[in-house]
Amino acid sequence: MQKFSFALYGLLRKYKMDTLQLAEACNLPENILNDWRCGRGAAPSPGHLIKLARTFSTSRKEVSENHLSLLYAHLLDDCVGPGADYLNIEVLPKALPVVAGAWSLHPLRRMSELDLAAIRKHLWYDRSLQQSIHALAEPLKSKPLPPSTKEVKPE
Amino acid sequence: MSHIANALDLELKQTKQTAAELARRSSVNEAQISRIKSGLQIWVGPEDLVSLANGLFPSQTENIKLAHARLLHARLMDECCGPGAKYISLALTEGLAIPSDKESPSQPILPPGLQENLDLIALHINYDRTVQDFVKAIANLCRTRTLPESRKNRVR
Repeated sequence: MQKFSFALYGLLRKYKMDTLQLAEACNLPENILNDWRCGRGAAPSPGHLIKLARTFSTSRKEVSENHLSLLYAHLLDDCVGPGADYLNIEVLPKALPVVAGAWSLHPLRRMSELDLAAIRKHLWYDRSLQQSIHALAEPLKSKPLPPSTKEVKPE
Repeated sequence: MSHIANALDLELKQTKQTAAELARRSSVNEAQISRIKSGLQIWVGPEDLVSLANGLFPSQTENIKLAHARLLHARLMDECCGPGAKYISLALTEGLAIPSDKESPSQPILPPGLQENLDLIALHINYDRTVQDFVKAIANLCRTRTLPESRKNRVR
């Protein structure tokens, strides 16, 4: 529930609301929202996610963006157990700025996260590997990241 | 039919078990298994999912993990619906050596310059296919290597 709690906080921050205002607007008990906000309680259902995404939205695009951010967090939280390592959950590149804007963090592809971890294990002692990483990072320093949430246009 | 219903049905067929047999081997009751199989129950709790995987492959750790992954994938596919779902990709990476990477809890501390570069790559990797492919290629090379014995104690 930790990531969902983070996404819910992002939603509240986006609209400058608190859990009480959200509870009144979406007709959900405040204690449930407070539990989610603190990373506790039963997992939200697909219906809850849509309801939360719709609450303060003024357009379909906003509903879609809010829902994406909440759903992604919920799926990551739900992906637990012995087989969880075999699943790769990722946001498609064109929608990444939406989630990054809502969470204030860039979500990393699971596969890439593991690739970087594998490199990191050998990086500190291998000089040629370090040079490869420096060479790869150098052009990225001047390369801007894709535009923020507002400029992304989910259809 | 739900994804979880299809997945469970397939697992039962492949392991040549009936719902009653699976119920005996797992702590999930037969009625619940039948409801899941028929698509009447879509949400399955995390503990029940593990229990079903255990019941499908008793005492076969690797097969339990794979069965759990397939069932979990199906359940998450059922949950992945609504307006934002089309921007999420949910894939089963069965066969890839993902767990072995995650099992190693030790990660070395890197010098600041190197760490900054790695963080920068992590920021761009989602958007830049070239960076993605390059990192993947280096990572695959790294995976084939073992840490030198004398260096292992530096990794914490």
